[in-house]
Amino acid sequence: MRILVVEDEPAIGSYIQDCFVERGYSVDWVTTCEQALETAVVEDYDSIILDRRLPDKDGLFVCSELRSQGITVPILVLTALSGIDQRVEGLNVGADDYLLKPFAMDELVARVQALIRRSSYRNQPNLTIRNISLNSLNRNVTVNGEQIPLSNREFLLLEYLMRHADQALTRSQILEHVWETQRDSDTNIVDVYINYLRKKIDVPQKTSNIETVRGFGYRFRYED
Amino acid sequence: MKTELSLQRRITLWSTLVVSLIFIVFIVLVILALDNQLKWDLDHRIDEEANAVELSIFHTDSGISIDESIEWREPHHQDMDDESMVLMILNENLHLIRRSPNFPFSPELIQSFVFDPTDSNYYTRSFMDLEMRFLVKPIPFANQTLVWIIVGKSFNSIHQILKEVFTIFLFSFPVALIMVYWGSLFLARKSLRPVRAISEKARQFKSSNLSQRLPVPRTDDDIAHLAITLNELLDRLETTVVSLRNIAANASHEIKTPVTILYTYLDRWAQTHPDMDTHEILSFRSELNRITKIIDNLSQIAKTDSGAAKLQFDTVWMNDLLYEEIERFRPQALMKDITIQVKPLPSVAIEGDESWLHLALGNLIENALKYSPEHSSISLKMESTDAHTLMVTISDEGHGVPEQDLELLTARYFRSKQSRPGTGLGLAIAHWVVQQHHGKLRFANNPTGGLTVQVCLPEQYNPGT
Repeated sequence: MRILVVEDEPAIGSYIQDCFVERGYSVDWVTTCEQALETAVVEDYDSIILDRRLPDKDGLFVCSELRSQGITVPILVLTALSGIDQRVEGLNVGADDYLLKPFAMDELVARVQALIRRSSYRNQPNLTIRNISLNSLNRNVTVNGEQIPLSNREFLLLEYLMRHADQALTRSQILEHVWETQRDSDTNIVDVYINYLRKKIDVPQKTSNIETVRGFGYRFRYED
Repeated sequence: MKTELSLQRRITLWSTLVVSLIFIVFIVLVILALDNQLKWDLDHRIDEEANAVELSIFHTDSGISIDESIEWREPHHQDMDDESMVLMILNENLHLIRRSPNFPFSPELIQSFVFDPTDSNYYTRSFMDLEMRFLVKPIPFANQTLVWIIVGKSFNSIHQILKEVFTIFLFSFPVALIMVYWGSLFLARKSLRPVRAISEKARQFKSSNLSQRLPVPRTDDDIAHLAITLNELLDRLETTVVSLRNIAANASHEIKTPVTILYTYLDRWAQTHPDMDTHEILSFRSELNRITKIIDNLSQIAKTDSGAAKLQFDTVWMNDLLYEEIERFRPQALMKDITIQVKPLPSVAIEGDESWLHLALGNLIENALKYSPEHSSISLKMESTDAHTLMVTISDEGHGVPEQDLELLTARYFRSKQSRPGTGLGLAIAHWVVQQHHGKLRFANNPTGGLTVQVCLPEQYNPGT
């Protein structure tokens, strides 16, 4: 896995680099928009971590420039500007996620991993298991051809379960992939969201697509 | 005592009063002058009459003879009315020679005159129940003989004219008064219209649209001058506010970068010292978080004040939002051993601005955490009421808020007495956000202690549609 870090603050940049290298990534680190564009066009990265306030330009410039050249690498924007308005602005120019400074390194790692994983879904956005169809690009979910409105987390959870159908997934795996957190707190949020999904997908059809694996976690049933 | 009358009304009343006083003085002067003139006319007419009568007196050898053919037959010498004149001729011994039929001889009247052989004299006497003017004129003849002509006329005609004039004035006064009142009301309104326009405009001003200016009337008068001066003041204010706004935005960035660096050092240090107490690292982190939060709040409130904050309405899944906020604060809750009890939330979406709602509800949860004692619990629930409104209720087991302070909670920089350090901005921002969504934010003390916050948000409110 190769990632590009665009960050002008040495303390932050070097730390991000170290953390990802530790986890087995190969990391390139540049400090300006110009360098970022030069390398990102030539090299094939799995993800880019992009700071917004760079010495030469707004980081979002890199983002819009890459997108206009048809480069679809997942981009996570780091911003010290407060979150309101920034999110919309960032997503409008084609960023995939954003993270506010100051951030915890665990969260950054989890987010980047989620981005890389989800970008692999882009090659095969459509997935159908029995009566349930899911599209990772436009986030549509249909059950028996009928569209089901899902919240963002509900969709991510269903996507994760369906992409790993027939695998038993632990709660902490789910927490890490859907909520991008490695926090091992005693939360029941996974069970709550499984419940939402069951109410929307299984209960009306009297099916049981989402199974509980007692003492372990959950599994999306693959075979009839 | 402060007067309740508007400036316009006061100007009207004052000008009406002044004009009516001038009118009254004018009437008095006119009547006095007219009276004077008429009296002078009267004297003149009596004198002319006396001259005419004089021509009818002849001195012959046998004595005085009077030609009665013309003058004495005129009707106004026969009977008594306003225009009548009385005539009398006396000899030098003041014995009656001749009198007109309308002039009864009265010795008392004759005695009240002074007979001066050298000059004519005028007298005002009351005679036959009338106010009358008399002329006593000596007519000397060649051989030292002398006759006296007495001509008299009543003042009644003068009084009649004066009365008529006065009546005209009396009736025209209220009419004039009404005209003056409406006229000055019109003028006052016309001249104050620019002032009204200025104040109407000024009322629409907010710190969010400081680029607006007051209308300057095209006249080159005091009001135009006032408007120009105020506009100059607004120019300076705008410059200051804009630079403050920029400072708030920049400060947020300038401070967050070093905080992020501190964060990374802390993370590194924690990794290289695995024996270190995680509790202390957590508190270190949460203090850094608090600094960020305060900076955020300050820059957000600057945005809401300046109107730079623009809400983007879209579908917001409230269960996602609340659970994310709860998870965000869970480490902080753990440190104080506070349990966050969540009654299973329904999966509901509303129309709203996700980022601002995150901020608002995060502030409310954070506030509940801040005022909760250790080992207590916070309960949170969300339900749809039948009126298409979503109600989020957050209640803690803290000390609550004194009843008199409940309404002040959303005021800027307000902090209850037992409060811990904070910016006092969190609830003010939450209040602003809820207002922008046309929702309601309510606070109440629980009967068992602690504070309950209720947020009501309409499910379908969207200002864009």
